[in-house]
Amino acid sequence: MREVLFVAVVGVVVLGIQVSRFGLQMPAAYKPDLMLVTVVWSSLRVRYATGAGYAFVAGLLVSLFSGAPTALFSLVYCLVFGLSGYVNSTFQVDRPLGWALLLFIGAWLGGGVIAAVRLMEVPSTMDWSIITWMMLKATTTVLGGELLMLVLDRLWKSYSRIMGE
Amino acid sequence: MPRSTLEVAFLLLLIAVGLVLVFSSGNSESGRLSGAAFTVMRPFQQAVHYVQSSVGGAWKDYVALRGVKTENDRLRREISDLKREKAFLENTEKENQRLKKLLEFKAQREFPTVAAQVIGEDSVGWYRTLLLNRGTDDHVQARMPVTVAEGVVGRVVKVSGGMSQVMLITDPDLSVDCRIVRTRDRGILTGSLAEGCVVRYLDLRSQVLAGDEVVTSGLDGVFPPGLPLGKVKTVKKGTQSPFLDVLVTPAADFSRLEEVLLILKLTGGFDIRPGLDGKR
Repeated sequence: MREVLFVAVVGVVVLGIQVSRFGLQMPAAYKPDLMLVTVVWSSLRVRYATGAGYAFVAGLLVSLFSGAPTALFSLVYCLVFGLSGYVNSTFQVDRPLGWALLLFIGAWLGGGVIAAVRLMEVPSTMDWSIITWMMLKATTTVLGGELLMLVLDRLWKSYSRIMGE
Repeated sequence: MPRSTLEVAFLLLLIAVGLVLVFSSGNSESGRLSGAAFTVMRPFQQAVHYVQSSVGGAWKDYVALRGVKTENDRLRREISDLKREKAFLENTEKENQRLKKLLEFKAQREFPTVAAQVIGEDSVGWYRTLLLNRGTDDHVQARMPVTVAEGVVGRVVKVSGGMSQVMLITDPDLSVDCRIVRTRDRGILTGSLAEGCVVRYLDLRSQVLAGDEVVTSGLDGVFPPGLPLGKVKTVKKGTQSPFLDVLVTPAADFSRLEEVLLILKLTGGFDIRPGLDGKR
């Protein structure tokens, strides 16, 4: 229950930051996907069922605050969660460099699924600008994600100390 | 840590549910779920917007002030106060200019409109949407057009009591029936995954050129006719397509939007009889 409460609060706060305008400094298209970062974090820190449930609900909320079809991001985040958990359990990558790898793969997987769905929905040409866009998005997600993962780890440790293991 | 079969089955079940929802529900326009989520998030968004707009000027002034070296504290304080006041006045002046422009635009048009503030943007940026602080309480409904004095912004896609979501014309999911002003050719303007917008289905014989203005035709029954959409950037002949590839730079600058006008008129409500263009 304590895990559920923690991820719920994290999800709501990060969603609030995510939908706020980052101002003129960063165009919306290139801002980091912080919700994806919390999904990757949950795949490393909380129980599997809690993390999977969180990935689904977080995706549902992101879909509602985006132009995406309902639950598209639930699908994306569940895939990222599964992949991240698998990679970590196989290769033990739970350290900052490993996080960067997980976030980079996750951002590309997410971007790939979304681009595929968009191309299915509306006829559009796939060119280098879309690849560049996905690359920039993955880079900002990794950079923002490294920081957020550290913050979440700190908070999680403090929270665990207060609430007990 | 090894996963149990049950855990993996749970994740697969969630993925399956996600797939079913994606391909069955589509993009709900005003569902209860989105309504509830919007209602919960709206005060937060409004508060963030308020803090951003009121603190932004003071913060800029503070940053500028750090580089200034004055001889004594009294003068520093005075300069600081004056600068803060100046930044505030400049901000207010700019806001006044924007609102004046919107009011002039509003007065020129015969349809009812309501002004709204932009209080948020697309949650992750894969889609191009904005969040506005007006909803069904202000008679806003899904599919209503959104515009600024410079040109069309987009269309309302989701709406709740006090908040609505607008899909921008630069998103590939939005299509607008358009017309090239100089040649009177009709086409469909949609967003592009790359940048800006594209006009589809323009005949190869069309005399459209870079710099030509593109406006709404009014024939889609959503957008009133004659609203500026943008200017033609490039025109190319499609390699295998029977139509021209026309790239358009949108008239509105989406990165600087702060206030917009919602046109409170629904599908099919615009008079598109020939000969009325001059009267508009």
